[in-house]
Amino acid sequence: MWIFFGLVVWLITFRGFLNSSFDLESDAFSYYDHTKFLVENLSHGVFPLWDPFWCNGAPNDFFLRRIGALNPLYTMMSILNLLGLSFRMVYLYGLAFYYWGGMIAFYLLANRIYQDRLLAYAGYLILLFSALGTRIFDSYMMLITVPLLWLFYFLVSFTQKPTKIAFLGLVLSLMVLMSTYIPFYFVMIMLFFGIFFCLFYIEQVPKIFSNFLGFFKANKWLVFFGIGVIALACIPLLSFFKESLQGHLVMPARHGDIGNKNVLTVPQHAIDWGAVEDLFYSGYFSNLRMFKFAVVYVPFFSVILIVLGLITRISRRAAFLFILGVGLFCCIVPHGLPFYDFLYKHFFVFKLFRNLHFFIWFFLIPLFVFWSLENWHLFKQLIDTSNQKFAIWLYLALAHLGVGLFVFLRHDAILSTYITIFLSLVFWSALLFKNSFNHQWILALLTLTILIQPLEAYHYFNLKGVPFKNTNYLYDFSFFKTYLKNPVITDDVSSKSSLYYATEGYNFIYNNLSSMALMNYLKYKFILVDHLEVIHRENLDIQALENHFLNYDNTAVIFTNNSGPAVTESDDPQPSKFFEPIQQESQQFKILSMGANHLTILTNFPYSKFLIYNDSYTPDWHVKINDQTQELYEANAAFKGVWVPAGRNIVEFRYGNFSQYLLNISLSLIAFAILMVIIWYAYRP
Amino acid sequence: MHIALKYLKIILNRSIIFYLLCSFLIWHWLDYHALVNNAIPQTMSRLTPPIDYFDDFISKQNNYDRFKLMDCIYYHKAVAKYFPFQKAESLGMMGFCYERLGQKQLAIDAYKQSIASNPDYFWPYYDLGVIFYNQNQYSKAAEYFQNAAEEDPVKTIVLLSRSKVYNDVRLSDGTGSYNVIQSIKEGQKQAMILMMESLNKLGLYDQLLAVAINGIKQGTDDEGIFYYYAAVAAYYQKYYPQSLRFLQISLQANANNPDAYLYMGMGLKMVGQEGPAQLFIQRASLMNKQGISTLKKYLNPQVRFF
Repeated sequence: MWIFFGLVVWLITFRGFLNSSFDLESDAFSYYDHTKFLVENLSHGVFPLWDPFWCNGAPNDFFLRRIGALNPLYTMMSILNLLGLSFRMVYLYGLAFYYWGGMIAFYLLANRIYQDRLLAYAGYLILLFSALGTRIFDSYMMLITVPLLWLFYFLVSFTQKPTKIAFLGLVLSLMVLMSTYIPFYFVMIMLFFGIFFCLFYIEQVPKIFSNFLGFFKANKWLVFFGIGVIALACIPLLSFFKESLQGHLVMPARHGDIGNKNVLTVPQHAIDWGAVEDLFYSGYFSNLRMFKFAVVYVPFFSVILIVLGLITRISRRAAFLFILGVGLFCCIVPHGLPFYDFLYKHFFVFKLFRNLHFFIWFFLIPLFVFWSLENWHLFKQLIDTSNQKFAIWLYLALAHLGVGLFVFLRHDAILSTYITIFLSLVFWSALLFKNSFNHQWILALLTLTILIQPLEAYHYFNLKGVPFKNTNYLYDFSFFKTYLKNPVITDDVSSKSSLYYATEGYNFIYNNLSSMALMNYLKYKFILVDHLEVIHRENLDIQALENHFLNYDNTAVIFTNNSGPAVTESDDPQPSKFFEPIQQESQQFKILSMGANHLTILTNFPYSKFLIYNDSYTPDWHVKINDQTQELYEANAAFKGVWVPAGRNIVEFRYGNFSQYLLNISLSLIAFAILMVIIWYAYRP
Repeated sequence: MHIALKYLKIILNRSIIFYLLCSFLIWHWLDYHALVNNAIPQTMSRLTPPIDYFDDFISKQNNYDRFKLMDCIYYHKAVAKYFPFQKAESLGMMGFCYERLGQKQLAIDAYKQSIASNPDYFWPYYDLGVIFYNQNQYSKAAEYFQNAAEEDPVKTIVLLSRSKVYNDVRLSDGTGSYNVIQSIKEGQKQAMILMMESLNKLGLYDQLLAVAINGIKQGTDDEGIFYYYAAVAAYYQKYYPQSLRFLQISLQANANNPDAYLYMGMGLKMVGQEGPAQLFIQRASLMNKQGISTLKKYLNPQVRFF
């Protein structure tokens, strides 16, 4: 009951965001857009590997990896969306409950390790009301943090007692984590965890492995299935990684001119925002009256727990948790400590981290809360084993007084911080002299002690909520072809800031052509030309191309390739001087179907025409005319072009291949099925 | 010995000892200056309030968004801490924000620190004068207005032209057209007027006359205000003919000063010209009813940062 009470209070606290009184902020816009795009496509039975709305069309892999597209969360969202619930509601409440699910994992993990429900409940509340929850509305931290928490829960569960369900839980968590675009955060965390675990618990490692081995031998098929799906879940990531090496994609805003072939890498000293900056920044808002997004915050009760634990005998687990956190933190500080430079130089994964502060949100906050719980545990042991109750109470009083004095001397604490300190003293006194309160009162007191400060802090936080503007987000599009009636340029080419993510060709013309020429040309999604100019890629004359665009020339530029000389003229006896833009459907041009990954057109031209579909070109696009594969050209340096013969033809542009779709859809379904099995197992009679 | 060892072992086993040892180890590796010098610019960059905040502060006379003001305080507190060469302006901005938030004492403290950081900066003197003036502490107000009036405007202009804090402000109207020099000129004129008004309220007519005459000599009196205050000082010192002469010049420069008409009437009464005196007093009364007053705009001052 108290677990649900925590959830209800959390939902009420953030009702402004959940009910769309307040708008999303910062990165959350982009994540909302990409999730909407995925979920709406999934609702239509399409797995969107191409995004025609991003930078004039770009492979969607990057964004799919960023949101972790195999997460069963999206399958659930699609089902709810199909049932008629608005996407915004599905998204916001979906993420809220997803976040809560992560907190449940934390509760279960703490309960499993400490066998103490009160302690686990405290940890659950502290983490639930930490600043991690605010990031639903401005970032996407929980997309990594939640599966990571479940992974640790299932890992501990499996280590303690290898069961099939714990194994499946591990498989699902790993599938979700390994399919994100930067599983390296997760890999790093697990690497650090593994190293420090082996250092601190070396004598237990052989026994653990022996248990694992026993399970593997006894459940060969299940293990084979698990390892198989995890390996398969890595394929989309590996193929994206391979793609990023081939140069068809660019990420200028991120990659800069680093020189490394992999566009995902970042320059060593171009870390946007590190962990230290995150903490410095948060320090300015320590009085909580100006609490805002991205401020690292954990309810103050956890600090009291750590202070209480200071006089206890250090435990192996406390030392392990502390060293793990501090060790990881020291390695993600690029300036002032020697470790990061060394790791960047010698370990490739370090070249992929742009936002080192993510480690704080993905792992260090939950670890900090767990460490505070360990201190609770140690202090509780002291209480339970000591006969000197009065001496302990004296320490309790002094510790609380000391904390209170420290807070007072900082001059700027909010009132609820002092109330937390007072209630904490009452709570621990009650635990010390057990007979004073019954269990429900203890729970109520604990809840109040933990929540009173975050509730005041989030009150101030909500006061600064930006009122919701019913903006049409980038992906608020009608699914089929209506955009053709109102041709738009989906990316602002008038500003020349670096593109975040685009195809190589589009980035090239974006950077080299004047905005006027580009806008002039790109307002038409489809154009027909009669004359082709075939040149070597290296000989592309930018000025000539710009003139073509500005003058509406009836000429397109294509590059020479290995498939022999291309046809360069249409059979139109009287070609116009200007290209022919298609602005609406007609007897000659009709959209038959359109989706994220394909476009099917019915054409009926009197003469053969070179059709340019002004959506970015990559070699993964294919074209068929009347079911016959045709050569697809990279037209005008960035777009798709194909010769269409005279008469009635069905032209079909399609992105990717069947195996890619099969793999992604199968993995999504498998992930969803595993989740259903786990839920069924948890609630079985 | 045995017992001592036992207790030593107990002490060394404590969590706090372990954490302290680890902290010392990290401190040994840590290059604090490298850490801070790299983190601060990034942090400051994120703390920088959006540029339209300042435009809001300039264009709005009241009803400021308190969160915007608090954001500015946080930012400028950090600037003052980490960028000593911008301390005076940052503290000045903090003073402005605190004053607008109604936290007058914090504003006074910030302005005083700003002056301590750079005594050649005009606006903190002016703003302190305004705060004390609005609190009816005319003696202190007069003192700060005098300091403001005596400031060399060139030094403030140099300071502001080099300041990132003020560059942000300058850019905030989109055209970067805020005129620093004109603002200081206006500020100095207003400081002198408020100083005269403060001296008037304090009844220090000797000083008032001296200040007014000084202002007239400097040629700053394009609205007849200095002549008016000179007349007031002369009147209370019972130099009625001089007072009437000053008032005459004042009203020639600007006829929209009902107080000048009132003193004219009172002065004429004193020299026995009852008839004309009555006419002037009636006119002053009428103008007051109509709300016409040149002085009004100068005598309801607000703190400024620009």
